[in-house]
Amino acid sequence: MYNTAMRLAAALLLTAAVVRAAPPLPLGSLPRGKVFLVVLSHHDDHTWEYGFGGFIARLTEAGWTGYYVRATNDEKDSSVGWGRGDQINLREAREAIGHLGMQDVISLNWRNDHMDSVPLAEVRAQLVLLLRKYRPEVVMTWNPWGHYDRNPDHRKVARAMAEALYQAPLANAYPEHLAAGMRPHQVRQVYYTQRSDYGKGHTPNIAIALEARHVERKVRALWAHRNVYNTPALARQIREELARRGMAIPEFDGLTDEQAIEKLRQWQMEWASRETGKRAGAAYAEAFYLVDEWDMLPGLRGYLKEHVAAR
Amino acid sequence: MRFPALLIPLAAAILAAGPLPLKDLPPGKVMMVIQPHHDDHTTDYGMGGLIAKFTDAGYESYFVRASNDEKDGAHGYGHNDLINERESKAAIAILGMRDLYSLSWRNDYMDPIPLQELRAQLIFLIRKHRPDVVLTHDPWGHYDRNPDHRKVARAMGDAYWLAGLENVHPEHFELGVRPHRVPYLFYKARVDYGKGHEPNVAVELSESQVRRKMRAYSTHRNVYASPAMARAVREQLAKEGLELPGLRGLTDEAAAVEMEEWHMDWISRKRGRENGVRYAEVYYFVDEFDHLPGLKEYLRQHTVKK
Repeated sequence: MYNTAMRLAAALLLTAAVVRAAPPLPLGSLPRGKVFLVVLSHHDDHTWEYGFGGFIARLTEAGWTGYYVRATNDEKDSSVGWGRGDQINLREAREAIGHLGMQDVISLNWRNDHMDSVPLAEVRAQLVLLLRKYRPEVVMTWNPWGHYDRNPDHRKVARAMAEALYQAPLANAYPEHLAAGMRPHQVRQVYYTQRSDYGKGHTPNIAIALEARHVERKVRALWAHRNVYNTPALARQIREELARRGMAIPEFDGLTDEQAIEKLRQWQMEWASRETGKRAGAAYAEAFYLVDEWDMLPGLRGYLKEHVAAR
Repeated sequence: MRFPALLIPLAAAILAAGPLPLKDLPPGKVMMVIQPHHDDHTTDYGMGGLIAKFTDAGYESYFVRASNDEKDGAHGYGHNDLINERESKAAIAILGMRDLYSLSWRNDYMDPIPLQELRAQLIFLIRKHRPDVVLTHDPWGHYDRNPDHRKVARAMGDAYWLAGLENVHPEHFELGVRPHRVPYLFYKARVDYGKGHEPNVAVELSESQVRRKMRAYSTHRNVYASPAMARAVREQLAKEGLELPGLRGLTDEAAAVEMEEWHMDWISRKRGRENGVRYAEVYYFVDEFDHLPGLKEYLRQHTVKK
């Protein structure tokens, strides 16, 4: 019987450092606008090491209004039972977005881990409505090209959002929204991301530079999800297993298991931001696949570029 | 039959691949092969040699066949199912595996079945047998043209980690099974199917492992090594004034086995040659810490000897 920490220690001792030469990324400038939506599957998706936390902090610092849309109910994430898991995770998501300066969490409450069987068109209709209601210039969401992400909720939200982004501007799509006083809405920029270990197909094309203070807020937002990230048992297992092998982590000396796991989580977030920063020549960064509203009209863009002249 | 004429341009289209790192067997005791069809564990793109290597190392191994294989063979649906399952059992015995599970979903019709139902079945089997290693189809081998391959690849991609969560299908725990996350996966895709499958490791095989892989393959007589195929090839060659001297004096059945087993040997040698060993198979290998790159890196940078 192998436990996780034993296998992790074994993996460490047996494998050399994997050095992946990540290609350089251009630095993107902060977009113009006032409102952004972050549309993801789970309570904590906005704020993990692959995520959006730093970019969100930069936008709110620049005066943007941000909303977080959580598609599932997160009932399965933690060990306190389904109903309580849902309640605690939602409360912690509200605390987390507070650290990042966002306004509100909108929960669609689809059943966690079971979005595969949800009708795509129904999720899409919900998202079209939210786009028309909040009229964001910028959306952050899962990359629909990160195909075969092994999390069914990620796959569903990625697909539904990609379709919603193109349907929200069409007057013929969901005209009942217009009867209720809303208007069609075209999002100007979409920033896609993907967990680094999930699905292939996601290839970032831009980096957003972060300052240390943005990373610090991102770390605080992550740690707000204590229900799922405060796992002292993992720190204890790692320490016990390393001790068994005559090894230790000096940084953990004098720390409780809870303090040790907090240090570890914090380091992971900083490390990922530093590594991405290296790709773009910044101290810290996050990487995204950016699509702007004219990418779907290359001919129009090309025509204007070649034919427009100063008068 | 225009078999030989077809084969010549095909051979030229096979491209040389670069060498891959050689992968040793990961630590553990239990291995499962989860595939759609009776013969998927043992065609030329996979997995017979690696299965034999695991069972040689003492792994307790199980084969899960997701479909009922009713369409594969010329004996009618019901009869095909029975023959194919029997031959699959004989094949896994040659490879040293312990047992076969048939989920018996309708062959070639797995596309419309609910992913979540198949996933629940796989989660249950993972919790029951607690495999350290699973061999399955690559979910990134997208646009595989076989619907059963796609479904199993996707369901398994979800199941191997969901099986480790205590909040997922807690009704299983009433039956005495416990959560179990699969630590190691070897993914395979047919070389001619879909893009997206890019092997990242090679596994070295012994002569004896390749021999068992060849025999496990040709044991599926209902679908491979058919005497009619050997007869048709020999008749066509004769018409063109050609022959296969190595098959002289062999019955059509023996000739068919000879031809089918040759290409299992050939592909194993070819993969070996590409990777600097005598025989090999290639896979996309995933380990359990791939989803925790930050944790892995933290320990790497901060752990010291006491």
